[in-house]
Amino acid sequence: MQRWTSDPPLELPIDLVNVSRVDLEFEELRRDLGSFSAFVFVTKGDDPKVPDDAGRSHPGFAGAFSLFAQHGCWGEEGHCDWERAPVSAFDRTAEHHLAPSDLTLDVTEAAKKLSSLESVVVTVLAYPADDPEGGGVLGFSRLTALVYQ
Amino acid sequence: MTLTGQVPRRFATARLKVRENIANLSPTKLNAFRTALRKFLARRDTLGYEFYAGWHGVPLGLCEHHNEFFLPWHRGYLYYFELGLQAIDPDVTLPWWDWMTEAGIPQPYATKTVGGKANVLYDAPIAPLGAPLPPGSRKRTVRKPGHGGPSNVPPPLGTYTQWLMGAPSYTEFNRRVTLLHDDVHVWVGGSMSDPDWAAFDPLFWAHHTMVDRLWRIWQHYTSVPLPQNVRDAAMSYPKRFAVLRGSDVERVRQLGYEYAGITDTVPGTG
Repeated sequence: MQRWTSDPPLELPIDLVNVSRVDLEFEELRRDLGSFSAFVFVTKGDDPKVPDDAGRSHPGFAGAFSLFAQHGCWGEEGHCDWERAPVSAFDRTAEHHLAPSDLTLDVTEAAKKLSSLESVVVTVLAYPADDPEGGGVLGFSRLTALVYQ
Repeated sequence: MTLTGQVPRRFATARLKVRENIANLSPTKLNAFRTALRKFLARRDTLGYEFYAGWHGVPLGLCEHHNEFFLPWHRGYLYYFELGLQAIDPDVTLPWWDWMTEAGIPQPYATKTVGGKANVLYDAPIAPLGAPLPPGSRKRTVRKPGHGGPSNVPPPLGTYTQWLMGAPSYTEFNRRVTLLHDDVHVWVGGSMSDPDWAAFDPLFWAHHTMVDRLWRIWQHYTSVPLPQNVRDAAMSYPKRFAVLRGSDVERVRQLGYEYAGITDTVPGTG
């Protein structure tokens, strides 16, 4: 299991009464590290740390998601090179199929259970599909919280 | 009184084919499907199963995921695969696995043998054309349902039906159905959990036919067209197959199939 916690906590200075939806957007999620499923928890900054064995019954549970992703490269040289640069200014090749993508989760229900949204901690527990005890599958550039009034 | 009439040939040949729930296939149809698949698997050339399986992952890696071409690319993929299967038996269509209502892997795919013979739906060789496997890699597909950790999201996923079908735009529907699609791949585990090998597993086709069906149902509910950039985009398939644009696959009837139980069609007023 791989653990990730938002650090610092996300600042969301919006009155809960006016919030209609809260999304968490994992930006540039890697798709070349292997498939996994994950629990996502949303807690307040001063709440106790989410334990490693937390699951759907945890009060901060916000959802679970899976990512279908490649593990290892079996093709020709360069086949899995999603970071390749365009070969020329006229290169119209489509984006590489392993290029990182964004994933958005609606966590409104969990967020509304919190008494305040001023500061929230997001914890992700990711379990590799091949080896739930292992890690190294979760990779992304940023986590953004989108709060809609 | 019995009315009889002769359907002109051009109408008869244009009859839509119906994709059915694997759980409801008659024994005769299930047997025909298995027989066609066995013959498809036996071909070791570009008319055989392993060639088509290789489009998705090894060696060709053409599949589209986690972007807005996910649904149209896979619709075209299923279309070409089904045509390949129908070259063996024109009456066979791709069945779907209703993981919205059914728990576990459907029984026709879950039993190792049928009538004392190996069940072709249980597993299949991993023998991609033109790509020798590295030593130690799997030679046949495997599944490990529910062994991917406590956060696995197991079928049935019916609690998400309203959420899925309530998507107000193509982009949002695509996002939601992708999440469910990924849940199923990862829950099945084994070969199905890696895009490189997933399409070698016969269950892959039933899974994706279900995804295609959900898109079809949502299209019926909403009549929301594909975004223009997706309609115009040319999707990649191997050279001898026509490039398909989003607009080519937007309506399933253009591709000759449906999910509704159409039983017959006759000429109108002309």
